[in-house]
Amino acid sequence: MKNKIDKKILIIVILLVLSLCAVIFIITLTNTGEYPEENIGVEDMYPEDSASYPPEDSYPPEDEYQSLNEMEQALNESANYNISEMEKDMKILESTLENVSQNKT
Amino acid sequence: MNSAGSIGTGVFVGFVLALILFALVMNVAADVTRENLNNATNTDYTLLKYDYEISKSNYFESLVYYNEAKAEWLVSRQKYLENKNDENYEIFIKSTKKFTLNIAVVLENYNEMLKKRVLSDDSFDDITRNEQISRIDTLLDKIRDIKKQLNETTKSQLTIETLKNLSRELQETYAHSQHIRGMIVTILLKNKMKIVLTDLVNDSLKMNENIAQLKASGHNTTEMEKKLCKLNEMLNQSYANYQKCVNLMNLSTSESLVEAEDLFKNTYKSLYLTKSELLDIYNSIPGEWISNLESANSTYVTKGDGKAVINIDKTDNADIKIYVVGSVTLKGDISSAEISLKNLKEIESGEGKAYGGEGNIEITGKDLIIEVSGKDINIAIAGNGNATLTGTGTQKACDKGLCNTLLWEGKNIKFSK
Repeated sequence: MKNKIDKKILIIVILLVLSLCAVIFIITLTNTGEYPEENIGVEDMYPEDSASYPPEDSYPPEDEYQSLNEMEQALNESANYNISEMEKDMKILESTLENVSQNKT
Repeated sequence: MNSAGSIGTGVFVGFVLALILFALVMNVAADVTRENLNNATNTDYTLLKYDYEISKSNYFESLVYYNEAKAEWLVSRQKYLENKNDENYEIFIKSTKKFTLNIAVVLENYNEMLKKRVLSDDSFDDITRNEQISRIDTLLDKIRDIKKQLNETTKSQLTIETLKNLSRELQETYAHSQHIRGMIVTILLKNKMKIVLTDLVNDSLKMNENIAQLKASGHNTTEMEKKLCKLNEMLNQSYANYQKCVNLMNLSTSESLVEAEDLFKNTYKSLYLTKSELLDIYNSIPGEWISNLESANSTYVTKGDGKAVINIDKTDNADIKIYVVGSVTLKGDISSAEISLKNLKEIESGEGKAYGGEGNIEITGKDLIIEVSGKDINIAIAGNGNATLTGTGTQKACDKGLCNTLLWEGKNIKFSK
């Protein structure tokens, strides 16, 4: 009798463990922190193949290309870094000091 | 025995539960670590960008003081040149020291700004970043040393010779600063231009594919093809300019860096024009043709010259649209295929059916072998099969939704819905 009860308990425990495993497996699959690679939608990887045409994010080219805008920003920024005016000032300084030095000696 | 069995079962269940608990804890821990790492990286870049903005504003602020010191120095210089007395000389020496010190401060802030710019930009690879930072740090040490000498020199020690030497040293640091600036600016522009070129090449390929689909469907795409041809020439020229810029950067002289920067600027203008041309081609597609493209659902599109052998699977019906200046030969299950022709004429064939001339053919069927040869071949297929091509051109094959754009030449290119 006791043996029978033990077997029943054992079966119930095993079933409980299995269902718990299933729940954990489902939670792992739906976890946004680490999305399983095989579930990444093809349309997310290849926007040109999505049903809608043309796909919004890549084609047709938008009026303003993001990459072109970024390059324009980089060009404008590079103009800020231009210190060539200083070169003239330093040359004037050098020649003045040279002249003054010669006059003093 | 029963008791021993129960204990064994209990230990087993406990072990399984412990494993599950461990897996759960590890999963949560991994998520937390990953999230923290991502947040840390983002926060680092946000802070570095903030640092860069601060250093930029410091640089521009120091430029204001520099201009004031310069104006003061020019006045003292003028006065001394007009009347070379001791009093004017002393004032001139004092203002020269101030002006020289301001030059050093501007150069220091300038290099600090360049350093923060490099640190806050994730497009630099580690080797380049470390190389540039190391150069800037060496230069900053030198500038700070000049500043220190200027600050520590007393009024009595301050001679015209000392100022001359320090001014000369500052000129050297200025030349180095300019060189570092050239490197950083050109690296940034190179990275940005590479992305622009990739985007435009991808869109040009996409347009090429669209034209192939439209032409295979029987539309007149002559004007669009001419425009795309011109656009591709511009893109090729831009790419050649990009390569020239990279070569100039590798020379790494002050002159070559200036030349590279100018060429980047001009190439940017050309790329902007290329983008406009691409938009122009897209806008020239009539609305009803766009709906053709929307419904095409092609799994295989190719455009080129040479020979294409296409095998259509037995499983499902495929819709095959072809434009060619040459010939098309059909083999296999031709009896159940639907064929419609535009300008092509049936010609003599040893096996199957053959069509020749310049025009279109549309075939709906399965279990077919289609051989296309000639010039200006445009094929658009919605179906399953494989293709073998010899010649020149481009092709795009989609297999279970994954698409790849390839050069024309290729064997057993699989495509499927």
